[in-house]
Amino acid sequence: MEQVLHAKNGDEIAFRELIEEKKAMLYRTAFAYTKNEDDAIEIVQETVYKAFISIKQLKEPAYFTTWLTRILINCAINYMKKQKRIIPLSEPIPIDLASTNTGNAEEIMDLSFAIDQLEEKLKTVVILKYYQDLTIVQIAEILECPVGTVKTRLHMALKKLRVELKEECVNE
Amino acid sequence: MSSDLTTWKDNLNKVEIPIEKLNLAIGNAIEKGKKVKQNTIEPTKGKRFWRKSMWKKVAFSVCGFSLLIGTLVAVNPSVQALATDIMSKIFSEYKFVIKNGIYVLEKRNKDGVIEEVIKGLPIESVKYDSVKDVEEQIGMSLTLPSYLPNNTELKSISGSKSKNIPFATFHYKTNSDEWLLTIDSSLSAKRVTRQGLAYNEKIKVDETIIYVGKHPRVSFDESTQEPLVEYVNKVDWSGESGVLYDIRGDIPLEEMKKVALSIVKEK
Repeated sequence: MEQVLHAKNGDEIAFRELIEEKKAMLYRTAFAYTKNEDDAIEIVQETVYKAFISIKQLKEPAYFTTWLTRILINCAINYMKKQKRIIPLSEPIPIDLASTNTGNAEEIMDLSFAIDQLEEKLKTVVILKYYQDLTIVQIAEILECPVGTVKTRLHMALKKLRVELKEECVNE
Repeated sequence: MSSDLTTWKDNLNKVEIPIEKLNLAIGNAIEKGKKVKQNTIEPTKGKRFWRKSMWKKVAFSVCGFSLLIGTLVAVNPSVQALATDIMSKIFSEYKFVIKNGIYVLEKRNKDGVIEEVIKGLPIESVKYDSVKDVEEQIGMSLTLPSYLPNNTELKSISGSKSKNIPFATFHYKTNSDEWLLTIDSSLSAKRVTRQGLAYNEKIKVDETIIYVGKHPRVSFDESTQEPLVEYVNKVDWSGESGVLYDIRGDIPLEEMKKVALSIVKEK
């Protein structure tokens, strides 16, 4: 908390230390959106830049992580929107799950693909709930929306994931 | 499904972090942020006023102009000095000079050349010992309030030196609250319209409308180096032949209204 206050007062070292603590979370959350190392790094870079120039606007130091996550999500969503506007010249590179050594790799790839296909709002609640292990209330704080909305989105996301997975199965 | 999501999470946690690239990106982001902060704040340091939106600048200029008039009619030399100091800070880009008896507001343009923005006759005020003295000097009879709040004393009288710009200011003190009554019969006062001016209440007495509201009082906060705007009570109205009456200061609004009504009814 004290570190956040120092950072708010312009202490660059305090800010760097805060980011150091959070950088793994930032990178992996960004990676959950992009499935691509360079894109994830770009999102983190944009997030850190925005956090650095606007930390004075953070009203409650206790909410630093929530605030930072909110910036990251906005950056990720904006980045993804921009990417969608760019027409790829080649086929997309398959998701690298070489490190997967538990469970059924095909199933995981299906799920990962299905999550990737979710619209941004639904994807975000899945990432925050199942990757960051946040509560519904915490997610609502990050997204600045009612708890009911988060529950609805999560329900829709899970329903959609099941449906899409089933369809894949049917097609097989 | 739940176990799949757990596995998905585990896999995500196993994603290798490209530490060097990530650290470089974070470093770049902070450096970029520092540059942006420097570019947006430092070159404009000391010129915060000019970074405000147009309406704020206009509002500030109006307040500043009121203060200029206040400076010129103020009776206390220390108040004059303070107000001049404030003015010089607010209008740091402008210079106020008197050339051959004509006041000139100058501004340095982009090329560094000094341009005259406004010029006109100087408005000078002097102290008077009595109402009769000021009436003789400015060539008009003054209607003063028949009602004054308890414990009110007339601290001083000031007014124009010239019959061409007839005005007088009475500086009162009620307990510790200071307030001013200005009677202005100059041409500019007669041109005053209510259009665009803020007021909270109108009181109609026969043909006269008294406007009740607040007036900005500008000072300069040395600790924050920012102009400080406070609002004081104010009533004003245009009387016979367009003479402008203006009461402003720290006394309660109800008392101010009673003073105003006592002048209007006197007429």
